[in-house]
Order: sequence, then C-alpha cells, then structure tokens
Amino acid sequence: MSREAVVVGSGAAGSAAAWELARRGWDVTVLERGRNLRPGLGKRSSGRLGTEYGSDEVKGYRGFGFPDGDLEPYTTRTQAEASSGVARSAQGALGQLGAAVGGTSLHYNAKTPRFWKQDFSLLSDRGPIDGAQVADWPIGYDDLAPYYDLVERQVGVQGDRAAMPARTLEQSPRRRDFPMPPNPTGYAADLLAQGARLVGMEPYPYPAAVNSEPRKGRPACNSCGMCSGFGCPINARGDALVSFLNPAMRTGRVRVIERAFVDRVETTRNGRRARAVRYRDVRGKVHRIPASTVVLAGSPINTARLLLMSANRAHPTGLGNRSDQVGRNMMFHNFTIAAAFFPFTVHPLRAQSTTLQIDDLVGPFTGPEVSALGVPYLTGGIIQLGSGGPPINGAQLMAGFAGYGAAHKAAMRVGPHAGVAGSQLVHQDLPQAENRVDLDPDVTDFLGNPAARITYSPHRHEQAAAAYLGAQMLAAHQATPESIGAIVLPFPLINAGITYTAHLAGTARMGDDPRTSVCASSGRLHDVDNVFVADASTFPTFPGFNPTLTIMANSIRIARGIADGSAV
Amino acid sequence: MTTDTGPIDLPWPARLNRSAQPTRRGVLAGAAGTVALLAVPGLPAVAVPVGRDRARYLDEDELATLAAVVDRVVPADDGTPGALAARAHESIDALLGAFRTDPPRIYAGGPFSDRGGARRNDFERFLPLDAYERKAWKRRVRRLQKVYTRGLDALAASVPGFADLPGPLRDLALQTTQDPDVTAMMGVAVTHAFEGTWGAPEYGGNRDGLGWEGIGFDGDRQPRGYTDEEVTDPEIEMLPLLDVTSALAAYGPAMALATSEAAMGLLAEAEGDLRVLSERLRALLVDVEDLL
Repeated sequence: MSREAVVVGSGAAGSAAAWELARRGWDVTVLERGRNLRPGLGKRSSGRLGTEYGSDEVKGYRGFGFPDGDLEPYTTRTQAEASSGVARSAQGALGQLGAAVGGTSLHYNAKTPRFWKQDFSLLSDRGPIDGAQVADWPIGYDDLAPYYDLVERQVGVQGDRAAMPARTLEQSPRRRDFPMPPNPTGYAADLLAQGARLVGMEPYPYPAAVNSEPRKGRPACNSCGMCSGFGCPINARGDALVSFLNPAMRTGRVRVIERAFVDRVETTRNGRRARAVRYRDVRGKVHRIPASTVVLAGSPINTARLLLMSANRAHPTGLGNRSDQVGRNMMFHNFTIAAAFFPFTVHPLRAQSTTLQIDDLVGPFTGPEVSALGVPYLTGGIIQLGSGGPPINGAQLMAGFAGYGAAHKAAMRVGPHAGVAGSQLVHQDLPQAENRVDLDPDVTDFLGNPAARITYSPHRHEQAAAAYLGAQMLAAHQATPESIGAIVLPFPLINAGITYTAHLAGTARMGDDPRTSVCASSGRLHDVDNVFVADASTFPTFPGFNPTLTIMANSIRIARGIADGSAV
Repeated sequence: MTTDTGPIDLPWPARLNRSAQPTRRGVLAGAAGTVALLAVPGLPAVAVPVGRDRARYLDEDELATLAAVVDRVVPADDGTPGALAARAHESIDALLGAFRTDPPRIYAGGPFSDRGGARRNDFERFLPLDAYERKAWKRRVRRLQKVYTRGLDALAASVPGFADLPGPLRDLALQTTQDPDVTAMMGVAVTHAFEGTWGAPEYGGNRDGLGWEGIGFDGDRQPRGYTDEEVTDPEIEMLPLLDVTSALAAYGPAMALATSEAAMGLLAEAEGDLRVLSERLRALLVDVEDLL
C-alpha cells in the first residue's frame, strides 16, 4: 500500500491527521481553501512563527481569515421553512467558521474539556427520544483517552486536576495532571463563581490550550482577553497550526496547497476506490491530485458538501451515501446565555477569556419536571464563565436591538467590556434526520459549485433543556454578589434556526451498521475503501462540551489506524 | 501571500522598552494637509500622511454630510467626544478609497500597534491582499461606494442643508426618512461609524484613541497584556448608577448577547447591515421578558 495521503482541510482535524501520518513516515498533501496567515510556516519552528493577526476588532468584522459571504455563501432555513417549500431564508457568511491554513483553530477560544464516558452510550443508557436519531458511538471513552493525553501534551493544555469536581473526574478520568497550571482567574469570572457557589455549583479552572508558562518556544498568555474570534498576537495559544501542521511540515513530508477549492473526490468506475481529488484554484483552473488514501477534514458542513458534490454513476446520491445519512444529523451547539450587571467595572476582557467552567448542568436530568417538558430525559452541558465583549461587537448588538444615539453611547460606557459579566451554557444538540446539509439548488460559489444549504431547527429536547437549565443559570447570576441585575437568554427557545457558533458536528456519522451510518469507527466510508472522514462529521451525537480537543484526539486515532493498516 | 515579517517580536519583556509610554500621535497641522509625528522610542520621528492626505473617495460636500450623519450615531455629550471628533467619517472615506493605495487599506497589519509597548507599529503597515481577498473586497468596496454616494446625495437632496441642521433635527430627519437610498446607507453607516469610533486608529478613525477613552476601553494591549494582579485584583471604578440601570432597561438582552460567541455569528450573518441585524434581534429577543 502506498504511504501517501491527500487531506482535505487544514483545521483541527486535518492538521492532526497530517501530523500523525507524517510522523509514521507518510507523505501528505493538505488542501486548504483559505490562505496562510502565519509567516514562516513550514520554514521555522512553531515558536518562531510570525502572525498577521492582531488585537484588531475591525479586521475581524472584515472577515480576516474567513470565507467571504459573497464568494462562498452558505444558505440556511429552518425545518418549518423547508416543509413549507421555502428554498432558503438566509444567504451569506455563516458565523465563525474560518478559512485559513490552520482553520478555525487560529481564532478559537481554545477551551479543551474532554467528553464524558456517558456521552458515548447515550442510547443504551437513556434510550431513544422521539424525532431524534440518538445513537451510541462505536468507540468509548477508553478508546479516546490515550489520544486525549497525547493531544493535551502536544497542544499544551492548562488546567488543575485537583480542583475538578468528583463527578467530572469519574466521567473523564485522567492518568496525569495537566501539562500546565491555569492562568489567573479573571475578576469577572471570580464574581460569577461566587454566585454559582451560593446555589451549590462547583466552578473550576477551565482546561484550555493556552500556555500559562513558556512552553515549546511559545510564550505564556498575558491575559489580554482578545481570544475568541481573534488570532493570538503573541503565539500563546496551542492551535492546530503551531501544534500539528507546522511540525508536520518540518518533517519535509507534508505540503500544504493554499486556496485549493476541492469540489470532487473521483473514484474508479465501480466506485470502490478513490483515485484523485479535484480542486480549482482561485482563478477557476482545475487541478487533480492522484490519491491512494483520502482523508476528509473540511468540518461537517463542507465534508458533507464535498461528499454530495462527488456523486457519480456508482454513487448516485453522493459519495458513500448508500445509507442516505450523508449531510443528515447536522448538529450545532446552542448556547443559553446569561449575564450579571454591576454598578462598577468588572473588566470581563481582562483575563484569558472565560477562565472558569461549571459541570453541574451536564446532566442527564430526569424526573417529573423533565417529563412535564415533554422529553424522557434531558442533557445540558458545561457553563463557561466570565465573558465580556469588545466594543464594536457590543455597539452593533445594542444598536440593532434598541437604536443608536445618546442613550446608546451612555450604555456603551457601562457595556459588555465594563460592567457586565456573561456566561454560556453549551447545549448538547441531538441528531435529527431533518437537520441536514444538502446542495442548494440555485445558489453557487464564485467557482460555480453549489453552496451548502443547511436546514436546522433545535429539537424539543434542546428547548426543554434551555427552559429547565436556563432558570438555574439565572439563579446563579442573580446570586452574584454586588450585581444589580441578571438576564438569561435561553437561545434554543427563542431561536427557531441555527445558533451561529463555531461548534458543529454530524453529517457523516460513524457506526457499525452501514444502513444507518456513513463511516466505520475507523473513519472509513462504508462504501469506499480508501476514503476516510476524520473531522467532527463522524460524531454520532454532540455532547455539550467544546469539541476541538475531541476532534483532534479522534482524528489522530483515525490517522493512526490508517498508518498502521488496522483501519477496518 | 503572507509578507514575511519574521517571528513575533518576543519573548516579552526582553525586547520591550518598558520605560516608553504608549505613543500617541502628535498631530501637526500643515498647509497641504495633516501629518502625524510618529514617535518611535530610540528612532528619529517619521512623518506619515494621515487625515487629509489619505486616499479619498467622497467629495467635500459628501464628506460634510457624512460627518453630520456619524455625529448623530455617536453624539458628543457631557464633554466626551463622539464619532465626529473621532473622525469616523474619515475612516469610512478611507474604506471607500481603500484601493487607491497599495496595499489596499482593508486589513491592518499585525501583530502589534505601538499602544501596548511594542517598539514599532505593525498595524500601520496594511497587508497585501491575495487574489481571493482582492476579488471579494473590490466587489464590496464598489458596492459600498454606490451605497454611500447615493445615500449621501439623496439625503442632501431631500433635506436641504442637512449638514448644518442642529442635532435633534438631523436625528428627526434620519429617523423619519422613507428614502430607500438613505435607509440603505444608514444600514451600513451606523456600523461603520462604530468602527470609526471604537476600532483601531490605523483605519482612520478613533483619533488619538478618543473613542476608547470615552468608554473606558483599554484598546489593544499586546505585547504588554495584563499582569496577574491586574487580572485578579483590578482597580475598580464605579459606573454611573443611572447609566447602568437605564442601559439594563433599554439594552439588557443585547448586552448579555454581546458577551457570547453567538454574537459573532449574528454579526457575521448580518455582514455589517444594521437593518438585517435589527430584524434578527427583534425577532429573537422580543419574547425574552415574557419567558422569564
């Protein structure tokens, strides 16, 4: 077998897979639709890379490191709109999904909790829920644990095992402590933690892929707070590029092709094997890379889009789509948002963002109150504690909500960078067949390829969780000492469509049964021998934890199976 | 396509001149326009063109009308300056004329300005665009040029002497206009006025950091960042209680939303058009009080 692979996508999954393959002697070509924003890539050690990012909010709104909403639009609609024949209700940019070498990890919040043991067996443990395709994973926590250890060392994770609640350690046991101690806790997060403790919750330092001390040639974080949505200007964040892709390129066995817009995986006539990956460059010129192994890691929307665009005579409804599950089970993390307001500055941006985590609302919860909400059980997720917002962000949302002018300006002085401390509950999102990615029948990208169309509505389960758990979040914020008010926004209840976060999963779920899943636990498509899915598309369910650590760990697991030939 | 800027100027603080205060632009008026004296510790001062010497797109009348508009978006009050003093209108004009300089003034450079202790201001060196970014931004800037010239001309035509009207009358004109060209312009101008007031000064607004100072925002802080003590035990300033309670009553749900990553998704979806954002937020947040 030829030891060469083509990896589509250079984000968390693609970079981790390329790294694992390269260190096992494989030659890898990585195709990325974005460009490189880190001068020195592949030429210098990760600690010596430059960056074109800065603590510059305007640059973010100008889409630096993102796909352009005109050139590469996504389209969206709700399930209700889909059933009444609406082709799309929105078109353009989609939230925080980046397009750059290193992917969205260049500007991720870098929070790295592990999934819990119970997350891998939700169906067996708790049973089905109407209208959802609840499933067990074909792997368990113990299969991922060694890869969690590996990724935590490689990206450099800070945390404090001694401060973790007993149930967290029981559900996500760790052989050793974190590679680094936590950053100092932000003042705003600490205030909210006092409120949370008063209602019986247990806040603790949020594991994060951020240096708290100099490590591997990169400096310690100095708490500037411009994290989520910003590239780290001092190179303190362990993203996929510095942790995996750049070291992999420096082996000499990995090359990255920027601005490669992949539109087809070509197969042999009988469809059993992929032979090449086709892409266009920015001028529309077609290129083909012969491939004996293909690894798809474009993140769930774009992996599904590519599989669907690769339909051919042997795979008439899309590559590997005999199950009709490609593109289905699209999952987004909904956030229930809470905030406390203070008559003094609490400096929410003066800290590594959301420095504390709470696990008390992970669940599952059962009982009469839950049944009354129309679901047999409900699951929530972690709370990230102590966030703020930079000024242009706050200015736009406030003006969009209630207008601009003198009152707006006065509110800006006490606004989300000053007297407000926020937090977010990251909701488990259940998989639904009708939440899906397909190819938009009319809208195309600038190269003429169909746009990904996303049909999505939260399940009643998420709405019930928002009502049930939102009340508890509100109580914690109301109990915060010295706050003069608190608000909760139970997002899945108030939003009929997608909450545009950077957390997404599903669309090519792994499983043992080819009739109900797209790929095997090895990541290999059930229907194509040499095409593997390595990103969060493979997740059968989407528990309420930041997913990047698990994406990286699972991708390395899959890549190792490819490299040692054990993949089935 | 990256410009090879070399490694980030670290490790900190070895290469940081800690005695130097963050430099502010000293502005000198000149007959031909305005130059800024860029004071870099240890180096002779360098004059760089700003203000009237920047690439421009709008004519004098259009710029005066735009200045009168942004003045109402973020008005001056209680002695704190607003968008006009921050020169937000000039930052909008700089965006409309972005392709008249090379590299185009779309993305400021990185990683540091000279406000957080760096010796050199990287933000001032705008980044070259690659073919994709150039394609996207040429289209967008062309569209914005039309939106602004049509909107400003329509405003000047429908409200004669708009630029010279007292503030409250300009508010009334902007709030009651039915002219589609004016409302289309306001959809983007409000967001751009915010960027020109509270964005990095290198984009042409937020003159001398006036915008940030007015709301007590520290601005970009790297590579200095914050000390552990500044994080865990910061100096606390009282906020005007009346402002806090009014802000909570009028803007509370939006302020809560602004602390969340979901906010960035909504903003990306609206792509800078306040009308789109407004429609989404009203639909989202209208029921919040009933729910709780």
